[in-house]
Amino acid sequence: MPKASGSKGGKSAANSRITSKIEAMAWNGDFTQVAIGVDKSIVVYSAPKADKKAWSKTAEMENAHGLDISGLDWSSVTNKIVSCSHDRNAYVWTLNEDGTWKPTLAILRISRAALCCKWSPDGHKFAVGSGSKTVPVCQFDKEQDWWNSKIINKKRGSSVQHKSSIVSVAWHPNSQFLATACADKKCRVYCARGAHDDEIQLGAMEDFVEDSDPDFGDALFEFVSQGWVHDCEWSPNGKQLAFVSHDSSVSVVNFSESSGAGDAQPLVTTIPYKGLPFTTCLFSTENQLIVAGYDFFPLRVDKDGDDWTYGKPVDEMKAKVNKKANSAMAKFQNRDNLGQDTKVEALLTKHQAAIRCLAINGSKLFSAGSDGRLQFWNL
Amino acid sequence: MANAKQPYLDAIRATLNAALCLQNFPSQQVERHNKPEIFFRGDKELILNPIKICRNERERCLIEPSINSLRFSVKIKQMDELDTVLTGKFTRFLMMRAENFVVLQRKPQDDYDISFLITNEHTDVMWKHKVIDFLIQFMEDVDAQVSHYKISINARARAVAREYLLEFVEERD
Repeated sequence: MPKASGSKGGKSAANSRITSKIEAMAWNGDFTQVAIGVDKSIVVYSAPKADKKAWSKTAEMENAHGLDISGLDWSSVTNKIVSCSHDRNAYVWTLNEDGTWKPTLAILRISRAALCCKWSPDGHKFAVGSGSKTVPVCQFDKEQDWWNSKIINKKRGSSVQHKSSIVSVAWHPNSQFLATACADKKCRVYCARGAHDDEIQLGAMEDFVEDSDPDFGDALFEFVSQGWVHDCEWSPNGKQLAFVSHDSSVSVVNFSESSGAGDAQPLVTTIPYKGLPFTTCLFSTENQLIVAGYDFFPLRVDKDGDDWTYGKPVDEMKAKVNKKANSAMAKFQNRDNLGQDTKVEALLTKHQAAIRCLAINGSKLFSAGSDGRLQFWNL
Repeated sequence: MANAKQPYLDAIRATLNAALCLQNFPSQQVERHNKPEIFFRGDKELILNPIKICRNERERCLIEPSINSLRFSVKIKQMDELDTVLTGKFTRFLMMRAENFVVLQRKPQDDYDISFLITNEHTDVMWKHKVIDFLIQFMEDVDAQVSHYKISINARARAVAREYLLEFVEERD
């Protein structure tokens, strides 16, 4: 049974390793269950019952896909899981009474790998970012019993197009707008209204958008970065959009403020970071971001008036002092076992490779990475 | 010897640390394929600027990063023809056994002696800082190895020549 360890007084980091690498993780609505993409399968773990300590594996969708699973999302409204994979497919999983999950096909019409998928907050539709430079948005078709898609694609005559793979998507809290993070170094916001949506609510974006009733697939904003944009997230009230990119920076777009330049553009604050790039971000509150990436630890970014500054890391990174390390006996043992005098120093961070996924539940943070570890943190 | 090269190796280490931020990225050119972008060069936006770090004209290295892979090519110091022959034989020996080295490429890049290809799968499975340690250690060791071979060749040649020419020296009594 794999044990997921906490960061304070918990078990050693070795216990939190579940698999070889985790690139997709999704929690259910009340955070008692987590689905993880393990190679081509999806594994669902449930929180320990009162008397047990370990998380138990409650379901496994073996060989759900033909290739590695790249994205998972669990809707808190409908309790359905959407999974997408490099094999160009996406499935929507519904829980049966006996605890097994039944897949329903989603017609994506993409010619390359699917890289990420996200449910809209209202649970009616989901968006998939793909390597074919398009974003299909799927809704359920009752007659055919499948999920059919409309594609955010290159609109003729539009200068705002995805020129590379879309690695991450994020829904606005009102389920009508979609932010996309693309490998062509840009973060864009599109209108992704569903068939049943009546009125478009632009909210804070009103000041900056000319057309007050955009169609599906209309590009509303395009934000530029110096490196591939890895992830984007909306703040809880939808007034801010944060994205992280490969030039080691975090950018936050504040739709409540204008940039002050000639043509109306929202205020974009870019905070450069001295370390390695971040791969993922999320808002813990309206005024605090959590970012994580190639430095192997989650980091807080706090808002102070109009500025954002990097705060304390979430990982304590205490060095484990090994008193026996310098003894002669240890030296010869190491020479015998490893061919060198000192043992390989493990890293100070709990994660040993890049963090790929973050999730938050109030003050509890969950991170999963390429080292196959799922870590629990208290903020 | 190591001290003189230290700034060079430090610069390489820092660059590799930044350039080895790799991620799993399926090919945009061919469906269901996942290839090292630096090798196949399908899309320009996925490849970062190459960096050349030179200690002097004879010792340099090239780091070519991309979104899911990195190529590290090294030009080993060769002062004369004997060095060139020794380096060629040594690198050929290593490159023929490239599978065992995992990160080694079978053919070096043009103008360089040996090339390493590191992909996101390597950085996921292996500690990144140890991969970098290995590369730096390799650069330190290869110079030492080549000069060691050169010394032993010269010593052997001297010993052979001495024995041979002793035949021709008249005994003076």
